[in-house]
Amino acid sequence: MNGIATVRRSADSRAAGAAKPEVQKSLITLLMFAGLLTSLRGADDPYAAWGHGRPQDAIASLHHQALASDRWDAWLDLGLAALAAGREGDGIAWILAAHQRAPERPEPRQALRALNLTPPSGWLDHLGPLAVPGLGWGGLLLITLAGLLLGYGVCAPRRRPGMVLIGAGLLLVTLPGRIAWEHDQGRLLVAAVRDSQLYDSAGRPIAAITVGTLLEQESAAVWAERILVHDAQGHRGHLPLADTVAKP
Amino acid sequence: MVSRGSCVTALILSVLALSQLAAVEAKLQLPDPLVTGVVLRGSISVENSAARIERIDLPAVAGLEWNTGRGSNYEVRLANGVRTTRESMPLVLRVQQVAELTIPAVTVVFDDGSTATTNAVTVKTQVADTSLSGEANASASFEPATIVPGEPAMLIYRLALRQDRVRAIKQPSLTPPAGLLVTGERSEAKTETVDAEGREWSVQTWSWPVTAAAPGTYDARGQQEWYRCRNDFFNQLVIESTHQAPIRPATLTVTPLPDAGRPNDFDGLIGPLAASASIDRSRISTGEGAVFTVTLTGPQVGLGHRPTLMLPAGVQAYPKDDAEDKSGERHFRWDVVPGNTGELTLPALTFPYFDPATRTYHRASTAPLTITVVAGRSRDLVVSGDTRPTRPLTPPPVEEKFVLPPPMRGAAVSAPPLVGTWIVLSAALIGGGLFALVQRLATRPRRGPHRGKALAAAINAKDLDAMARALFALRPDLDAAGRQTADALEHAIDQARFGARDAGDLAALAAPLVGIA
Repeated sequence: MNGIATVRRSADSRAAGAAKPEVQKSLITLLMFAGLLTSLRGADDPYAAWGHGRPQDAIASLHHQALASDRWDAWLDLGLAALAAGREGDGIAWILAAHQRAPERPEPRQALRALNLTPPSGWLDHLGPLAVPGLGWGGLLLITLAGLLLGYGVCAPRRRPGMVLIGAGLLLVTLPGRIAWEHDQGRLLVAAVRDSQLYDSAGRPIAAITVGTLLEQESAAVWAERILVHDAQGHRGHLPLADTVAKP
Repeated sequence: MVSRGSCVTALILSVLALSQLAAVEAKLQLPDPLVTGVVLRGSISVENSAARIERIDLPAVAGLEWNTGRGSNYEVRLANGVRTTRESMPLVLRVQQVAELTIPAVTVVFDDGSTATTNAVTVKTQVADTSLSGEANASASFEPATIVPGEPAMLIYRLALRQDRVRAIKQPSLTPPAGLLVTGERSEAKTETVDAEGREWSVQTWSWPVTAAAPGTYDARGQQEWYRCRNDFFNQLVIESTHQAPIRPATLTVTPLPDAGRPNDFDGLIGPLAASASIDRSRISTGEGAVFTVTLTGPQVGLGHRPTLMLPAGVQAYPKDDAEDKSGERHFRWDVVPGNTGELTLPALTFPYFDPATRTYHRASTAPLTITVVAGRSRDLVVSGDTRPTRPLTPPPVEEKFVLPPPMRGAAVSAPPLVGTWIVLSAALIGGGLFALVQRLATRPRRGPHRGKALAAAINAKDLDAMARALFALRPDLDAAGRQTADALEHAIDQARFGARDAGDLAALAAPLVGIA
């Protein structure tokens, strides 16, 4: 018995000895793969060029990132990089895109205010702190909870007025902010990325529009490559669409 | 004696003959433009002539050599049942000098002896465009080539393509150089010309009204892509080859405004400029307001700024909207509110401007205006009690300073997806309701087995104990007749159970009870 066990142990040790190089190879491969991933991540870091003082070179990759994720913070970073590269018109347009995606966030608004620009007031501005319960994931959760309570309270075997009351109260608290958020997100705000002009429908110039001017689009329709907008001074006319499109 | 019918026939025939004669019309067609020193081709054509052209008598014109060419062209057209004939004779001509030529009427003699004449025309001749060579020629120019900041100029892009075959472009390659401000719509024109060898060229011209905000030089240059084309079976242009033509560059020089003679209050207005002032009411009461309007008229009034009103003491002026109501006209408005009665004189305002035509500074002035202010019905405000403030006034708000935020680098919390609030709410309502329904179904009291059927089954199985239990279960829901039946059945069952007698036909006895659930 002891002899057999000894023989087995020696066989195991031989097998382990044969397996050692395999393990080493696997570990080396794993390490190389991890190193490759790290270097790839480093190469793909869209902020790398900006961090080395070349914001102009970072704009293309930041633009790609913003398009791919469509997150407001990606658009804000793109706008900040464009401003750092001296491209004021494009920067303002992209910061405005961030503001439109997250009208409740203070950062894009703060960036615009730092450029002496004030975006048109939205419903969130008018609601102020009343809008807070309906914003973000918390707001969506509260609305869902309110819906569940209302649905259960009405359909339960025995009516539960307490649940209905709580559900209705939650809706009353959350819905204004949520509706205002959806409304402000749906607004069509544009910024002039270069010096341009407003034209009337006959093509005659109405007013000069300087680069970075914020305008509110009145309709999504495009006519003769122009959009109908108005500015804060009340000028209303058609602006060439190309003068509102920022390109990396 | 001539009959009445003959007269009518003769009249109709003569009218027809006259109309035929009137329809004969000779036209002299000359190339446009008439270029000097080049052999050009023209023609004289006659429409609806009953006879053929025999010869053309060309009058002598000073500065023009011309003669009829060989052969003639005779066309017959039928359109909507109307037959039209057209015969044309070629002309070969050469203009000797640049001048205005008056070509008198040309007589066309037909083979039947009749004649027709063309109208006398006056044409201008011009020198051939010697810059045209090769197949395409592109050039840019600024008019004027030197301006001051704010002065309008025109960028003109001219592209000429030779017309001996089909050549075309997709779009003009030249655009106003960076730094220039485009102040209006691009205009486009198309003409034809002839080069020094008499070949025809089509010329397209695009013009942009531009100006510059800062001194410097601005170059317009580039390459124009053009194509040799052919018409396919469906008469659509098909590109055969692509070519590039260099655009002859142009430079716009924007010089600084001259210092000599510049008024101290000059603020960038470029002339020509006219200024006027008006007031909506010339007689008002104290405390009331009148709208004072200053109007600037000129091509560059957008460069102007609202002037400062120097008003007598006791008069308040509140600026109103400042709008460029229509192109080339700008209005500055104030609500002027005088505090005292009497004659109020609104002083003249002057606007210094630079006149590009004379390269000097001038002033446009408004005329002074007078308002008669009469005593109004306003009352002074009477304040009783201690008018000193009981607590210190609130300090003026400090203007908030904003700075650019740092980049987020993906650290922001993600926002919820833009799913409609109503969809979420509806789903939650339905979910809550479904939960309640499931709960209702789960907690519903369960029904027991069918008692009548259980009794019938026990009778069929001849199980006396089961019969007794089933009958006991039935009893609470029985009426008087049922109870009587149940008593009889129970008696029969008990007899069978304990008396060892035959229970008889229990099924018939239990028949009224088996239907009770």
